[in-house]
Amino acid sequence: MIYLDSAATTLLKPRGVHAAVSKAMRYLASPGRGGHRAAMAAARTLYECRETAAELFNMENPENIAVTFNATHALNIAIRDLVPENGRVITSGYEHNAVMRPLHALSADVTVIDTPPFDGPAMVAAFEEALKSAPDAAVFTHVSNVFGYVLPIEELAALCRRAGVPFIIDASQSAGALTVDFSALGADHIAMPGHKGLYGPQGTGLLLCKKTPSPLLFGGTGTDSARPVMPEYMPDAAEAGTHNMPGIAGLNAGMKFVLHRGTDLIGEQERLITAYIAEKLSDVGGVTCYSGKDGTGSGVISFNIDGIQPESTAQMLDREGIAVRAGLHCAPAAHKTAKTFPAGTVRMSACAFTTLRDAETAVQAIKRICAQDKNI
Amino acid sequence: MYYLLAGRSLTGTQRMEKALARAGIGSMTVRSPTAAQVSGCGYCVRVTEKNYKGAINALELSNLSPKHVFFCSGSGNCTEVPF
Repeated sequence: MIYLDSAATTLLKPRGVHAAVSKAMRYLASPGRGGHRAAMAAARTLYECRETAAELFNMENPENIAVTFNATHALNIAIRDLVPENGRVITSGYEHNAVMRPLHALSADVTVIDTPPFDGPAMVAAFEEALKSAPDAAVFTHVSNVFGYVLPIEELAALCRRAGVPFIIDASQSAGALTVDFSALGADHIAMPGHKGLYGPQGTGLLLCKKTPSPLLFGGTGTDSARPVMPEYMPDAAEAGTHNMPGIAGLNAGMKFVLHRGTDLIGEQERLITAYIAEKLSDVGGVTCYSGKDGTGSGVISFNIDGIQPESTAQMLDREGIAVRAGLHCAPAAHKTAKTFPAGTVRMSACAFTTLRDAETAVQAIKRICAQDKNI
Repeated sequence: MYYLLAGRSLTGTQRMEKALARAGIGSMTVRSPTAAQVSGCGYCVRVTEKNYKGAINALELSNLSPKHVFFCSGSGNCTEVPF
């Protein structure tokens, strides 16, 4: 199989991740739930995972990193922390349902900055204008999970800081492939999955916090257990219940892989793959490829074939042994912004293990689908 | 005789252990014995009597501070002490 669905999860993992998960399942007990060797070994692995994340995302204090079950969990904590019921929020027009649904559940008054994809200056200008209304918070993704569009987050973050508006960054598609510098961005929270560009197992995520968020879940933390309330300090306030130790061990190994290979190199390789696909599809009749200028794209690319529904294209590619994703990608807002709603797009996404040969095979398959369609 | 420096969390305690290691002071994160618990379960860094003052100084230099400090006898009796 040629796997081009890494934006959903990186199925291809470094060998060290498999080894770490396997070892954790045999030897690591529950951190913070005892003083025996297996519990303390788990505690050391968990702390090491926080330290690795702190190094990767330039955070001084590993205590301010919460380990979550996925990016959605992390985003829910962050949004519940900053957005009151009926609060006013600014978002980009490229947000995932992991952002939009929690906001909807809070009956938030959401201003969506629906500027065209790959147009950073337009988004910055619209954001600046919207911030004048002094919203309770802003939430924006680093990279669109549909189009691979890299948003100008440094500029957006600077605008929020200047306006004194708390903000959350969704780094689901960028962590591990683009620089995410927590200290430089000054975000209140940055959320990310562990199982995409960080190469950990599914069921892992991270929330980087400037300060302790209000708890989303309530339960055991292994400390201060005589008190009926959740601890008011990080990371315990955000980590009720038993940790996913096999996942955390794997995530730590995945992040070490990213640190070793280098975020810049991984990101460059992914962009090379999608740029190659975009170039090769640009002269295929009937194919619309959604891509931007240099520097605004990432390892994610969407396309459509005239007259063929995205889901059908994905099925045909699957029959050729090529795994892609079709539809709305849980981000209807992005499709509304880019005018690809309601059918959506076909999405291909690369990782550190994707090769140009994979890309070429996919391009040839798409060409065959287009030719077949014309023959029908 | 030894001292137990209780962190506010397991992670905070581990951070103290790391800071002490960087300062060349040997210590170990352990589960707090009942005699050194203030509000239920917790963790602390165990340091020898000889290393105690150096440990407190090293933590101060790292902008870290234990939540509680206990002086413990060999028999396991612990008394909270000011620091």
